[in-house]
Amino acid sequence: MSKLPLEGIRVLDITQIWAGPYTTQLLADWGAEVIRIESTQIAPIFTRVWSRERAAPIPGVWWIAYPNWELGENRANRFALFNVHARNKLSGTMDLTRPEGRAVFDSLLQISDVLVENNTPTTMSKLGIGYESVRLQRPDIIMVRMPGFGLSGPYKDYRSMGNHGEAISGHSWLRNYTDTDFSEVSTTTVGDGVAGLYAAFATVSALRGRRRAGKGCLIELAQCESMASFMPRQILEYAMNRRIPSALGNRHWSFAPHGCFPCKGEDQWVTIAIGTDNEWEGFVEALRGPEWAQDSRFATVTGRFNNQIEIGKHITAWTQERDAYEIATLLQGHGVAAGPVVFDEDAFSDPQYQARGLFEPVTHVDCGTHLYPGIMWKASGHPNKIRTPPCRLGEQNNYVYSDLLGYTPKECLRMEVEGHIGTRYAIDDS
Amino acid sequence: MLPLDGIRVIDLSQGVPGPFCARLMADQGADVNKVEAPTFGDLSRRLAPFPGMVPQSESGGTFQYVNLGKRGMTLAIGCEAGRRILKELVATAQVLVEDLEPGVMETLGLAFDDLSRANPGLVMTSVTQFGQSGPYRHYKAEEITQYGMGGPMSVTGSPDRPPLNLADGIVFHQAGAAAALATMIALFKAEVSGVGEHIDISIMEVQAGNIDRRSLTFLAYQYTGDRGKRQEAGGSAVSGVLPSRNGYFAFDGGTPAALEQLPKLIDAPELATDPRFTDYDARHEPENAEMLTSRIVEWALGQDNQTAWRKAQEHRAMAAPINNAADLQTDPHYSYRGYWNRIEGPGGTVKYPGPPLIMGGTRVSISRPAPRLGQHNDEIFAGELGFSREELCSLKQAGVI
Repeated sequence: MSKLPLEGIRVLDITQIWAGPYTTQLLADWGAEVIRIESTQIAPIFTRVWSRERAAPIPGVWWIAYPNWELGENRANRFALFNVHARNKLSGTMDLTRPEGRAVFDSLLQISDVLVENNTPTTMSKLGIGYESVRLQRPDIIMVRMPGFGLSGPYKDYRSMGNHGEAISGHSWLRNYTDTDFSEVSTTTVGDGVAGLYAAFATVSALRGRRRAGKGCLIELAQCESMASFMPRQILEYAMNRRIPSALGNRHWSFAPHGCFPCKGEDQWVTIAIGTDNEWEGFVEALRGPEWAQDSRFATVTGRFNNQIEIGKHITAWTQERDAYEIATLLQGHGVAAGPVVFDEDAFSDPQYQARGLFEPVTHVDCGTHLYPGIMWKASGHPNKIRTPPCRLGEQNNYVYSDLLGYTPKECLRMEVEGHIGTRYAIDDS
Repeated sequence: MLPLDGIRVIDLSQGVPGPFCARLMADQGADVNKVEAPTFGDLSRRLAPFPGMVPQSESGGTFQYVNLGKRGMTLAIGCEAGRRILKELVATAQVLVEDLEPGVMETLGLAFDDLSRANPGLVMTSVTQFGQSGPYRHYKAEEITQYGMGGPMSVTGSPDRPPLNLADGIVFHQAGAAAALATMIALFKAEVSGVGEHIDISIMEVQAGNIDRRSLTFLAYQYTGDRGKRQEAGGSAVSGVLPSRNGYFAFDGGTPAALEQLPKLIDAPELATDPRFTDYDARHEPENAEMLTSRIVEWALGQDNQTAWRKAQEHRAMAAPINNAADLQTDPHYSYRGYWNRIEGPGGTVKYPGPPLIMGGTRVSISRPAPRLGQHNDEIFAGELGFSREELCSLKQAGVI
C-alpha cells in the first residue's frame, strides 16, 4: 500500500470541542501527523470532559456519553465526544501558560507544517500565540484560525459554539417546523461539520500553494460565514427578490410530497420525496394504485404541491402500518427517493454501511473494543482504515519530548514534576 | 499567485454537489471547465431563485452560485465524437469531477482506468448519492433522504414530533465540500507521485462521517447501548433560544464565567447570593430551574434583540441572533468583513454569499459569473485543443457541441 497522501505533514492541534478537532481529524485520517497540544492543568469542558468537577455522566444524555456511563479510571480518555474525532492523532501535554511549556510548543512549531486552532481570539491573545509569533518559529507555517466570528469585525471577541453560528448565519430560522416558534426546537451542531470541511480544504490547498511558492499563510475561517455559504438559495431569494424564505419543516420549497412519515414501531420514520410525474406514477404503482391516488388534482407537480397536506395524510395512513426499511426498499424499486430515518441500533446492520465497511472495530485501552464510524470516502490508490485508536491524554509524550525534541530522561522528569508532562488532569488527583 | 494556479479541472457534473466541489477548486485558482449537454445544459439552470422571479436559464441563483468562476463548454458525451473530444480534454487536466449514476461512465468507455491510461496523474472524483458500490448504489435520494439515512435526522427536532430536516442546500453543499477536500488531498499526492486515483464520494457517508452529532450518536450507542434521542429545546435552565421584544436569540449561559455574570446580565443581582442559583445541584432542581428560566425569559422579552444578544456576549455568555435572510444582509459582521461578493452577471449585479475563507489576509473571492451555455466553446475547442473552424462547424451541425 502506498503512503497516505498527507504523510510527512506535521500538524500541531490546539483545537477545542468539535469544529477544529474535525478539521484535524480529516487531515489525520489521510496521513498527516496530528499532535494535539493539551494541558493537564485544566480539564477542557466539551473537549475531553463534560464537567470540570468530575460530575458523573447522566445516563441517557447521549452527548455526554462515557462507556457504560462511567467516568472510569481516567475520565480524560473515555469521553465519546472526544474519542469520536481523536483517532489517528497523537497527544502531547504541556502548559502553554508557563514559559517552559511554551518553549516546548515553540520547538515543535519549528518542525511542523501546520497549526490549527479554534479558540476565541482573546484566549489566543492571552497565550500570546498569533500568526506573527508563530511565524518567528517557522516562517513558512500554515496557521489555521477558526473562531466563531472571525478575527475582525464587531463580534470578534464573542464566544460561540456551532449553534450560535447556525443562528447568526440564518440557518436556525430555516430549520424548524412550520407551526412552532424558534424556542421550541433543540439545536444542531451542523456548523461544526461545515467549518471543519472548509478549514481542512483550505489547509491542503495552502500546502499545495506552499510547495510551489515556498510561502505559508494564515487561513482564517469564521464559522458564521461558512454556514451562510451553504444556503445560497435562501440568501439569494432575498438578494434578488427581497423575499424572506421561512422554515419549511420537512417540506420542499418546490415539490411535494416531501416529508418524514411515521412507520410501524416506536419512533420509526421514513422519508419520501416525489418530484416528477414519473416518480409519482412509480409511487402509485408501488401502493398498487389506491383510489385516493387517482384524484386528478394529484396528477401534476403543481397539483401535488397545492394539495400536499391531504396527500400527506393518505401517505401517513399507509406508512404507519409498515416497516420503514420495507417501505424504502419497495419505493426505491419503483424509482422513488425514499429512505428510513436510521437510528443508531439499525445503522450497524444497514446493508449499505456493511457493504462499504463504514464502521471499524477499534480497541482502546480505557474503553474496550467498539465499532467506530470510519473513513468518510474511498480513494482507489489508498485503501484506508483507522490506524490508531483515539489518543489518550499525554499518550505520546515520550515521542514528543524525547524522539522529536531530544529531551533527556532527566529533563522529562523535571517537566513531569512541574506539571507539563502527564496523563491525568491535575484536578483529578487533588 | 493562487494555490491552485496551473490546475485544470474538468467538471462534468450538474446540480449542486459536484459543481460545488469544482467551484471550490475555482475559488483557489484552478481553471475549471464546465462541460454541459448541448441545448439543455445543467439541470440546475432551471432552479430558482431568478432575478425578478422570471425563470431564465442563464440567471438562476442556484446555478450561478455553484458555477461562479468557471469556463463553460457544451459537449454531447452520449456520442462517440463527443467522448473522443472529452478524452482529449481530460488528457490536458489534472482533475475530473463527475456525478453520473454508478456504472454509466464505464458504459461510456470513460471509466477511471480508461481515462488514466492516457493521463496517469489524473484524479477523478465521483460524487454520487450512495457511492460506487453496495446495494443502494442505484437508489435515488433528495437531501432529506440522505439526512435521514446518513445524517443525524433521528436526533434533530422535538421528541414528540417527527425528526426534522435541515434547511435545503446544507446536505448537498456539504457533500460538495467533502468532495473538494478529497480531491485536493489526492491531487496533493498525485502531483508528486505522478499517479492519480479515483475518489468515491457517497453523500450518505459524508453525512454519516460528519461531526454534527451523527458520528457521536453512533459511538455513544456503542459505548452505552442507548440510542440518541431528540431533545427538548433548551437543554438547561440557562440555555436555549430566547424571545426578545422583536426577535429571538440563541443563548448559552452555562459556562462558569457566564454563570457568574448572569445575575448582573438579567438585572437580578440578588441571585448572586441565592443558593437556589449558586449551588449546582439546587440549580438543577425542577422548580429552581423553572424560576431561573422565567427570570431569564422575562429579562429577554424586555430587550431589543440586537442589544440583548450582544449584552449577553459582553457578560461572557454565548449568544447569537436568529437571523433571517434579510437580517443577514444588514448584520454588521458580514458587511464589515467584506463577505458579500458582488458579481455582475446575466441577471444584473447580485450580492452572493462569499467564500468563508480569508487566506494570506485576502478574502478568497471570485469575480467572474457562471458561464453561459457553451460560452467558451471557441476559446477552448479552437484556441486550446486546436480544432479548426470547419471541424467546429461540423461538430456543431452534428449536435456534438
